[in-house]
Amino acid sequence: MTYERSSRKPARMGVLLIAALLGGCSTTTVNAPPTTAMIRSGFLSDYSVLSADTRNRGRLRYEAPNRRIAESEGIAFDRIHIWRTRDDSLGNIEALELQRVADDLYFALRAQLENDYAIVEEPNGAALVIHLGLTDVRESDVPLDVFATSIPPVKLLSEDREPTDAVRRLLGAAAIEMEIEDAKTGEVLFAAIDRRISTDFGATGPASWATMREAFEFWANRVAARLTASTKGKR
Amino acid sequence: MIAVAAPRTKWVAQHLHLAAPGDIVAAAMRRRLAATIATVVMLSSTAAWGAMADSVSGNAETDYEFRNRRDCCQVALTAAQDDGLRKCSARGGEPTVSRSVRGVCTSRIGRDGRGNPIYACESDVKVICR
Repeated sequence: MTYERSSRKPARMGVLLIAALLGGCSTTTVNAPPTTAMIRSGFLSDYSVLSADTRNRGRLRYEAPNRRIAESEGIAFDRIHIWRTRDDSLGNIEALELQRVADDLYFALRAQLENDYAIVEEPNGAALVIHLGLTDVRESDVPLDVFATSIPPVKLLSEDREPTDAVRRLLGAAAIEMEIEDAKTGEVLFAAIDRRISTDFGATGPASWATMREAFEFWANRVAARLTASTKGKR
Repeated sequence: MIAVAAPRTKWVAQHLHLAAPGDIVAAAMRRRLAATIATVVMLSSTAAWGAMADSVSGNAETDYEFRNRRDCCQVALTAAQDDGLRKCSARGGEPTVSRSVRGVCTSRIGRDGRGNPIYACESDVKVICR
């Protein structure tokens, strides 16, 4: 048994090395419909337009062609959503914890975007609206347990109280879904699903609020860079 | 008379649960205890009833008019929350308005004229009502 394992190891290493090299060389994306393992929670308007990122499994993007977002165009956040299926509900998670998750996700993205865009508080006065959600749902026809909070948030929980196991498990399983649409026409300019955040956390979720925040900030930094490159031609 | 009356008084006291003079303090304490227990039970029942009456269920449903479940659920949840607020006010309660809404959203998917998915939603929200 030991002999067989050791004899296969070099071959496996070779395959992994080649895969890593191929992945590292490629920066293109391919148009591929989401696999069944991918999420179709119904949070986004159209999943068929998403492209898989060949370098990053679990990440899907859509960028409207030839659409530039000017600095003067105000961007507003819609309510932040947290979704779970009714069977595996949010019921065992305190509202204050859900509030913290939603608030931290919002602050992480806002901090990245306000360098390049004018963030406005009132969606009515905005040219663009960001829809942001944390979803632990894989099918679009199951009843949902929904927590939705308006912004701007207020800090409610003290730092010394760490996340409960229930909210950690949610964060370990959830994906982040995001869509930016033209407030007047409803045209979707940018959409993204990212399951990388759950890989960062691991299956048991983040050990602390600080770990969760770091992961959100990492995600927000990456998605903001992609958005700015797409809509402003920067970076 | 006295010799006859004494056993009769004892019999009456035993059978009618009347206390002998030495037991009066103990009986008073028992009555006080019973009253206290009754009060606690009554207050607990009132609190339990109050807790049950603490939330009002609001319901709402939308037509097939949304191209994603997000907007569909958001509209249904907001309408269900408004329904809960109205029901609470109608019963003379004072609803607690939160910046967050939490509830169940069930959606149905149809197709529009161009074959695109279109959603209709039903929602149920609990509103805190005092």
